[in-house]
Amino acid sequence: MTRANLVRTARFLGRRMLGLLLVMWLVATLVFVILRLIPGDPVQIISGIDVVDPAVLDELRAELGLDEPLLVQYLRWLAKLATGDLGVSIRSQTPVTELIGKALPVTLELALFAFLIGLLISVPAGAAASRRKGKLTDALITSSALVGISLPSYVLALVAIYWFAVKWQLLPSGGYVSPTVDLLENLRMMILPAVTLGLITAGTLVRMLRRNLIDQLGEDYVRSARARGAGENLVFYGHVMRNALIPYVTIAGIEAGILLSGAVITESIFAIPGLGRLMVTNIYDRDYPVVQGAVFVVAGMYVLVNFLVDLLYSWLDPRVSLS
Amino acid sequence: MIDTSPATAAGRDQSGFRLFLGRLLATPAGWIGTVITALVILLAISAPFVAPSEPLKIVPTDLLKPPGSPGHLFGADELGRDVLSRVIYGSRISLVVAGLSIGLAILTGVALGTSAGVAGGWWDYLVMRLMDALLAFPLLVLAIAISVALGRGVFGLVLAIAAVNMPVFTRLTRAQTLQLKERPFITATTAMGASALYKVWRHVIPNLLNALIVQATTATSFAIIIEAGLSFLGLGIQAPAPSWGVMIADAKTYMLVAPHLLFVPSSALFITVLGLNLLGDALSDALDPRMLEK
Repeated sequence: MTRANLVRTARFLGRRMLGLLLVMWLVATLVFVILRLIPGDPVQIISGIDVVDPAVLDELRAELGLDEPLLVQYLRWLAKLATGDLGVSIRSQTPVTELIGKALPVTLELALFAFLIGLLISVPAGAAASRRKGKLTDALITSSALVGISLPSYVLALVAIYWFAVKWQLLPSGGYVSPTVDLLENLRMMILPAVTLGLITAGTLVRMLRRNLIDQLGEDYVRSARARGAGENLVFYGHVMRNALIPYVTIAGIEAGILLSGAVITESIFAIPGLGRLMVTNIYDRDYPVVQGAVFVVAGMYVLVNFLVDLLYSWLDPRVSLS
Repeated sequence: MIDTSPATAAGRDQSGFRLFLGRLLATPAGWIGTVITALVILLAISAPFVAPSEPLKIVPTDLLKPPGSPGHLFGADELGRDVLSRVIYGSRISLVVAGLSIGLAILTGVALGTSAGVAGGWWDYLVMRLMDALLAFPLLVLAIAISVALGRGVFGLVLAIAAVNMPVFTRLTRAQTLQLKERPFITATTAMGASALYKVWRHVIPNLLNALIVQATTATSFAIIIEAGLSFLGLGIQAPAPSWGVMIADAKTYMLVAPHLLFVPSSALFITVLGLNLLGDALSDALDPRMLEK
């Protein structure tokens, strides 16, 4: 890399990092504003409807800093964020980082399994469909992929629970056990939610990969390679697949980012204590610090994954310049 | 000499439309998608005439009747309400909420995207970072928070779904605007002193239409999924209104004894989304300029 290139890359990275910081500040501001728009007093919700003494409620409000003007609360939240302090849950008085620390590995595990299922299905299925374009195999794979993207996760989850948990009683209908406590039970409990999410991810990825492969198969370099006598498998796996995988990596990265955001409905249906469920239950409870902290972490992961995908993309495809 | 008389232009428009329709219906995916979507819209409009009974009518003697029972082709629910009628009326809620929210997302997305593309500079930077922030925000959490903040109901639901869809339209519009800005016919109108608003209205938006139509179709199917999902979680349309999401949520309790309560609204939702996705794919091919040239 020449010195000029190095400077250009460093400048690009600096600009991107600045952009990321701005995006994260906007996310922090957005979540703060939206939560404050939700009607309902967190102190009253936590205290329960039987506590009506205004003095008690005021005292609690002052203790939690909720009696201060919104601008002060906002600036305090930003100042704490800058030091990595996500605050303390209003309801449980547990540090938010601790709550996220418990929920994050669960979401990561579910996301990882679902993503692997998506990859394991989409690569061979996309390859088979593109190599037999217009044939029965292609029609079956593209139809299945379309079904995958048209099935809402909650429908697929409930139908899976109906057959596999209720009717045939092969798998548990929900719940979560840590892999450190009981690995086998953990895997049994993860099958239905991971497959549910994985099939939907696979649907998107298959369609994308098939389209890329078909585009690549029509390129001149494929015709040249064939004319030079290169075998079909060498052309396909050695050239076509490698080129088609470049844009596939981008979409796969975006899908991974979405999975990491916490599958809110899937986690709710299968009673999985991940980040999605943490955010939703605490919106109901008006536990501002927990929702703010969890949203900030989830958005941060999404932004980071996208940034890494961008870097990976320019590394995989030298024609894409970082600057 | 080139004839630009209105009659010829109209004829050209007509033949262009016929060509587009021919392309749209040329593949099985295209006509299946068109037929499903048209049928769902027709059912939603004519619900009072085609539904066998009132969607909220409780019949205590018909509780959990299975499909095929007299008067209940798709069975009855836990209150003896006709499932088919509720599914037909449910299509109205799905389409109205999805239509309004995508309409709103397009209006705001096009306004923000074109202004960012035309103005450039700090406005462009700010708008795009705001869209990045909205995209980074966990989608359903954003929808849930807005829906809870604005009260559970159609208004909150429409705004929530519009907010999660707006960034896609903004990005799409901005990208197309930037491309068009460099085209000779736009630079020519700039040289002739046309205002930015005139250029956007007269040239940019008409050129965006194809991409917007394709994106709107896909976004509508997505909006229907989110509407039913929020209603499923109890955050959108509230019972006893016959939203597909509400029906699926209610079905959980009776899954073992009355699986039709799960399968009928789920199938309606799936078929509608499938139809829109097929139509979106076919529209994308039919409106693709590269395909039109072939």
